[in-house]
Amino acid sequence: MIEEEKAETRKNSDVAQPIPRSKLEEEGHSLLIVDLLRLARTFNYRRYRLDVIGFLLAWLWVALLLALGYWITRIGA
Amino acid sequence: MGGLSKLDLAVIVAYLAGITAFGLYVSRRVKDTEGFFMGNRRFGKSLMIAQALTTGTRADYAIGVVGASYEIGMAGIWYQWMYIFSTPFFWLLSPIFRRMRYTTTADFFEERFSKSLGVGYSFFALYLFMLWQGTIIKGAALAIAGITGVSEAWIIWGVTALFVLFGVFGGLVATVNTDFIQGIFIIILSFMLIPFGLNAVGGFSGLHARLDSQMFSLLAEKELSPFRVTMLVISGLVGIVAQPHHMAVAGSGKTEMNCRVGWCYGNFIKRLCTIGWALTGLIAAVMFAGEYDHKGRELVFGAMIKQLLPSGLIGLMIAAIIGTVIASCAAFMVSGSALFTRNLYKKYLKPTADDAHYLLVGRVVSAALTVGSLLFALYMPSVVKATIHFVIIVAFVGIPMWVGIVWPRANSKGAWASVIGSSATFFAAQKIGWGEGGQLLSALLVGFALAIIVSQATQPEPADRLRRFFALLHTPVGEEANLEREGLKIAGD
Repeated sequence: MIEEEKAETRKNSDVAQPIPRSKLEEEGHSLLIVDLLRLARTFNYRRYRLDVIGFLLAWLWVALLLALGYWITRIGA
Repeated sequence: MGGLSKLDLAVIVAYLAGITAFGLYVSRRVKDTEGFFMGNRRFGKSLMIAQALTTGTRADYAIGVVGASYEIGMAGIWYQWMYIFSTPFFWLLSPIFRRMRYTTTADFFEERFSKSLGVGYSFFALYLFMLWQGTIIKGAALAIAGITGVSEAWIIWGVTALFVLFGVFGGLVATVNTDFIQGIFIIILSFMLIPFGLNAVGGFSGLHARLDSQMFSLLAEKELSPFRVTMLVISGLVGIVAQPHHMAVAGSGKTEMNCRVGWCYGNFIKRLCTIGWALTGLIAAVMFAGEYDHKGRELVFGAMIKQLLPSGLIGLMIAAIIGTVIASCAAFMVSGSALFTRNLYKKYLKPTADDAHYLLVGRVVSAALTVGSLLFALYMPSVVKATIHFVIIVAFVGIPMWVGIVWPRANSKGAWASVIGSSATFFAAQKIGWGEGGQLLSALLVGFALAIIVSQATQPEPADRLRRFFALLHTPVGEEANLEREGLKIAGD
């Protein structure tokens, strides 16, 4: 019984594999959050290109907004 | 009326008439439930940006930040900037919402976990929608009543009637198209007071000369300590996925890129507006020094409008406040009726009716939800308490959503344990007198731990259910043929 449960668990853990196979995912549309637990084994820039570029660019906007907020408090000081 | 000039009244009437006519005009395209609830998933980048900006930007937010900055300085900005570090994650999350191809967040809980979670989430979300709409209406009514002297109850009824007109007749198409116009008004709202105010206080150098240097710090020990801000940022990120209207806000774009750009950059514009609100609060701190205490600080926004703006612009400001309420409430109302119609009525009460019947039900439910939110608006004791209550409880529902997306082994029992455990921990920590940061930290840790431990200790979800769910997440928009080849049905088909 325990062995059956373990086998079922293994089967379910594999579900996150691309089903069905996606051409777009291989070309940069894979999603970092969905694959989070497998990233250590499977990450390559080409697969996650859109996520990586957009995410880094968004952090750049965060930095710019923080800098703008700080800069406004310094005007006229 | 209420001290408003004829020009102000003319501006308000012209704005409301124009925006109503436009909403009704575009609603002619709404012919089925998919169009009513998700705008047929045809929105481009600019409309997606406008939708994200306007459903997430409301007059009561501006009023809250201005009031906080009036009292504690620039650090008051964190009442809205608590989501600034979550915003880059919107880029990663929006294609997930789009790929799920669900209409409501309850679809997620039902398809990923179980029917019981879908039903539970539906009732939770309906409560949230009514509470949130009530809070929005109440906040705007307080501001407008402060400017005009008109009875708060009359304003509540009037604003409610307007957004019903949009939501019930136009659905998401009308809401999003008018959002585009109202997005412009929100930016006007954020920056209109600044030049007049700076002129009144002697510019930026006048601000520095008359305020303590601590008022210009982005960090404040009083009220918003770094630990409290950190916990609000984290709980904001956890809860953002479970906010019921986000399935439409993040998932109604034509392409995944439209959804990414819309949700992420619509919110960045909002963060930019927030700087304007905080600066307005600093100006108010000079203009109304010592005139308002902690309880009355949110009245300062209305006082600035009354004192600074010339005739005509006061009318424009009131129109802009009403515009943000209409945009937000109409979107929430449409999402709420989608939840009831699709996840409760169609599934459990009348599964075989035609689409016209469900569209009618959606419209009737929209009206019923509005009555509920109207009662909240008329009788809620405090806007601030209601808002904080909302932000906190939605984080507890966000935990199983994150775990369910990331970890295939997560199951329904773990999800229920997580929601119940985190809520109970929060209220227990509150009861024994922990600070808000400690309450949130303990609740989130217990929630994630229970989701993992209980899921691991019990049976996983059936393999077919998991295969269907993760196949959707691994099938980008445009590759639906892959799903059909595998015999996988898209929810809502």
